[in-house]
Amino acid sequence: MNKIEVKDVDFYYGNFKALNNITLDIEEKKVVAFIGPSGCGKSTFLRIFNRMNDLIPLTRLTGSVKIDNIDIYQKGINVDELRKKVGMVFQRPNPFPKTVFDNVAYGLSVNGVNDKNFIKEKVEESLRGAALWEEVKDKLKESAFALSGGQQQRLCIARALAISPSILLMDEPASALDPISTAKIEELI
Amino acid sequence: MDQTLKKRRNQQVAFSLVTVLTYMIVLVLIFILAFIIIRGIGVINWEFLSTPPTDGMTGGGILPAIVGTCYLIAGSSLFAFPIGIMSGIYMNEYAPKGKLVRFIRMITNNLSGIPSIVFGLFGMSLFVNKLEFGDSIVAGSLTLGILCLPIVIRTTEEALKAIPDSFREGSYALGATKLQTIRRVTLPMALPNITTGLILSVGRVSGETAPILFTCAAYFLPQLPHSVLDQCMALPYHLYVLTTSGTDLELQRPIAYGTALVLIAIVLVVNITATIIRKYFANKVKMN
Repeated sequence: MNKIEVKDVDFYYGNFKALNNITLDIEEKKVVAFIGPSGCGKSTFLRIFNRMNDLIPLTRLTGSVKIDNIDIYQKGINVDELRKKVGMVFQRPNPFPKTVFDNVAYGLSVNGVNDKNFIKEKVEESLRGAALWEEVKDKLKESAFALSGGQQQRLCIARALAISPSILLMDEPASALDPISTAKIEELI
Repeated sequence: MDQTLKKRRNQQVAFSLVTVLTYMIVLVLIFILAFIIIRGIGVINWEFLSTPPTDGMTGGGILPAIVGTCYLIAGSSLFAFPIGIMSGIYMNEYAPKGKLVRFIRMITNNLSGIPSIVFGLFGMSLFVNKLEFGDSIVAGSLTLGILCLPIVIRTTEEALKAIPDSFREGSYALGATKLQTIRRVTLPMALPNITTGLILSVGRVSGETAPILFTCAAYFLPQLPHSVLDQCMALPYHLYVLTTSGTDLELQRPIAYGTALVLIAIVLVVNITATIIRKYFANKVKMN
């Protein structure tokens, strides 16, 4: 069965039609990349899957987007629950002004996880998953802003991994980074 | 004249002008402070700070006025801070961008332009008469609270607006609700700047005379207020009374300067405290 099924999707910013009639299926456990020129709607399309576009006023979508066979744009969908399942890493690193540890733990605690030991384990696991653990294991109590740009971006990946999403959206996560950091992130994916 | 020379000369003229103007303002400030300190420091002693006025206000201290001003600062803050901060949050985070928000913003901006004596009149008719609080600390605090609401709302709104949306998106993307995002990401980041607004409003409240004229301030009270429904003395009003009426203006003059000095000192203490709090929050945001 397909993990994601997109059917006849049009997307509008006000009167401007940004996405035109997209139909696409994506299988589970696949890495799929969208490529295209600047401004062609890659980010817009990506942000459809966790309904990030909801935050922009006057946007509108027609057609259907199904994840695990559930239409995520139907009435009564809990968007917070959806975003737990569909994680996202943004174009520019955007860690919170908190410690490295708290950045990764944030997703857990806003979703009601209180078990300190579990959080601790999960933070380490996620940081290892983002190939960052070795570099920050002695800096967990320091500000995330003290990390380099590449480390910050991997921290954001760890942050997204911590809540165990079944889909991870990445919006050009390496575009603001140097070649070495880019290589690390590519390897990770 | 050579083009580069001309440019350099213009540069120097502009720089000197800006520098001189800045120092002039600082000088004026120092002059005012020095003037009040020199005239007022003579009467300041423990007795002045800890006893009520005596001998038809030509002797004794100003304790009731100090206490009254502190009550009014606390009372108006208690009223204006929560409401103002929550309104600011609503305006920037919840309300749909559009006519309504622009309308509310226009109203609050205009509110801050209304002369303070008008607030006094309004406070008298609403709190003193209609709600039957009488001339009291409650009525005065509420009137002062309304007066400083626009400052609190505006600075909260501006502080929140200054935070890039990428932080909000990062939080939403992790499944956080709007309230969680505000409480745990946006508001802590905005807090240092919000604190600045609160300092400004406290500074304003402690110095206002007109709004408490008809709502709270007592001409002379030998004892401290017992409840929030009592009248109280206040430093700015006491200063006005000492300077314009009373039994002996000549004898009262030094006391008036002493009162002014105490008022300035209180504002200064509040400012310093707030700066420390601001620094604390700023560090917390960065390190935590």
